[in-house]
Formats: sequence, structure tokens, C-alpha cells
Amino acid sequence: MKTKREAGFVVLLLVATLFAQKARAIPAGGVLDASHSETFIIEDGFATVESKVYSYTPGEYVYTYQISNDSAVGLSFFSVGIEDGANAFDPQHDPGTGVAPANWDTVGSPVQSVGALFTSPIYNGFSSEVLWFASNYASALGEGALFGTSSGVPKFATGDVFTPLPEPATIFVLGLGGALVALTRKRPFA
Amino acid sequence: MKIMRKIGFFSLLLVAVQFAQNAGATPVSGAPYHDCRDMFDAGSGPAAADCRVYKDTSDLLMNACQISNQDFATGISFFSTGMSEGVSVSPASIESDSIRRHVDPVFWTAVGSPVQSVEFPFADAADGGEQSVLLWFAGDRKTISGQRYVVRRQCLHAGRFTYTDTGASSIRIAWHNWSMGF
Repeated sequence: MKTKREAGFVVLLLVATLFAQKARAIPAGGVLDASHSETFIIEDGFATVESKVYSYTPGEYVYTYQISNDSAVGLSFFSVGIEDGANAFDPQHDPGTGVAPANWDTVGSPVQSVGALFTSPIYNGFSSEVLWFASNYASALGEGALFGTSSGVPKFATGDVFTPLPEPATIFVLGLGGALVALTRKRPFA
Repeated sequence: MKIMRKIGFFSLLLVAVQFAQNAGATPVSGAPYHDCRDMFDAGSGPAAADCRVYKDTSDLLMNACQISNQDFATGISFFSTGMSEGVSVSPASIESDSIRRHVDPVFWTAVGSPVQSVEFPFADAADGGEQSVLLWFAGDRKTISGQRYVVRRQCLHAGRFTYTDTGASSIRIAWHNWSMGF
């Protein structure tokens, strides 16, 4: 009886997890570390991505992004590149702050990017909801991409947004690994 | 006890529905009406989209694509097909399979109203040597005389790729001119 009740609880928990909307505001108590506004030139107009970084206790950061569209292109996709050795987790969007994404999630394991797809595109004069994720790594300017379609033709642009920066030690280890692989490949067979 | 069992069953049903993800077999067979391979520069190597267009029994056009990534420094995370203005997109789906190294998108979706594109984001990128499952959708442009287009352009997005020579990394978006006229 107890086992069955526990099994039912686990199933309900699984259902709740599956249906949980990844929609909530950033956690309270963060201190704004940095902000950057980047203009992406698209078609004959432009879009702006406002990226901000909040710090919490040491080693806890929240990265936020909000897209505003002043172009004729309906924007449907936004992506932030994540460098090797850094991390990004818990992607969320702040409800009621603009056009909601149908999906905003990490890609790959380890994470190579975080991407948002908008089923209802962000049209001219509109902004997205505030998209955010957490990371253990402090920020640097990295790369973001915006994509949309106009009369069946893809339009896209890349630009600078804040992204987690891997620690120097991690970069060194990754570089060392790459160098060893290169050396191994170049060594002739006996 | 009985209620608990019912809740459990209902929950399992919901889980099954959630995981179904519109996956199913393409409702076409026979020779394709149109067949092509589009090559993309994924960053530091090639990626291909193999596309086939079939006519179904009501003369609707069924567009099926499969992406193959041969760029071992790049993970492909997004595929988009631009729609001609006025096209209505009806059932879109993926044909899931259990073949190793065939990558499923998180979901497919038609974007905009009227539809401007059909897009497939991937949670696990299609890495070098991997293929996507078959991605497909139906368009309502019938096979009448004159120049008509369903698909205008296609676009691949690599969430991030690394230049093998310098070690630097960057986001890459590649697109390909492709029109299906008839």
C-alpha cells in the first residue's frame, strides 16, 4: 500500500515536472554586475538585445536577455553561445514582460548554446519576455544570434551579448588537451 | 486506493502524450516528386539537407528533410525552412526511429500567422557524423500550372562551433537558396 502510494507520488511528480512552465522572474537578491545593449542589423532595420548579469553568492550568476525588434523581419529564434568549460542551467523566462518563447532551453551536453524559439514571432515594435539562465561562471562579452524570416527568406545577424566565461585554469586544461590531440595526430606511424 | 490507481493511470497517460511529440511515419510512399541535396557550410566542414517532396492522394505536397552533419567541430542545433507567402502548413511531424546517431528535435513548429517558416530546434545537437531523424510537413500548394513555391529557403544554425586551426569559437548560421517550383 505504502509502496503504491509512493509510486503514485513519483508519477505525479514526473507529470508536474514535465508540465512545469519554465516561466518565472529572476531570483530576488541579485546585484546587477553589468549590462550591455547590442544592435543587430537585420534587413533594412535593426533589433536590440539587452543583456544583463546579476551576481548572487560567490560563484552564482544569472544572465538575462531581452530582444526588441525595430526591423521588418518577424524574429523567431535567438541563441547564446556557451564556451567550452563554462556552464548554463535552469533556463527560464519572466512571464508578462513581452512575447513569450515556445521553447528556451540548453542545447547539447556539455551545453554549447542556449536557444529560444518563438512560435509567435517578435514583430516590429515588440519585445521578447526577459529570458534568463543561471551559471557558475562570471561574464564576458560573447556571441549571440538572431534569426527570422521575411517573405520566405531567412534573415539573421550575430552580435555581442554577455555569456559565461570559463576560468583560465579550465581554458588551460582544454588547450593542453587540444595540443596533445594535435601532437598525437601528427606523430607518424612506426 | 482505487482513486490512487486512477490518478496513476491518468498520469501515465499524460506522460505518454507528452512524450509522443507528434512523432509518426510520413504518410507517403512511392517515388518522390522532387529530390535534392543542399550543402551547407556549417563552420569548418559541410552539412547536408536531403530533401524530398511527395504528392499525397489529395495533391498536397509532403516535404521531408534529413540533416547530415559532417563537420566534426560543429553541433547543429536548429533547422528552418522558409515558407512562401500564403502557404498553409498542415500536419508537420518527425519520423522518429531508434537508430543510433539519429537525433530528434525537441519539437517542430510552424512559426507565425500566416506561417513564415517551419522550424525544428534540437536539444541535443546533431554533432559530426550524426543525422537528424526525418523531419516533414505538408503544404497546401497544389500541383497546378504556373510557378508556385512552397519552400523558399532553408537555414541551418550551429549553436557554436570551434575553428580547429585557431581554437576560437563562434556561432554559425548558414543558409541555402532552394526553391521548389512546379
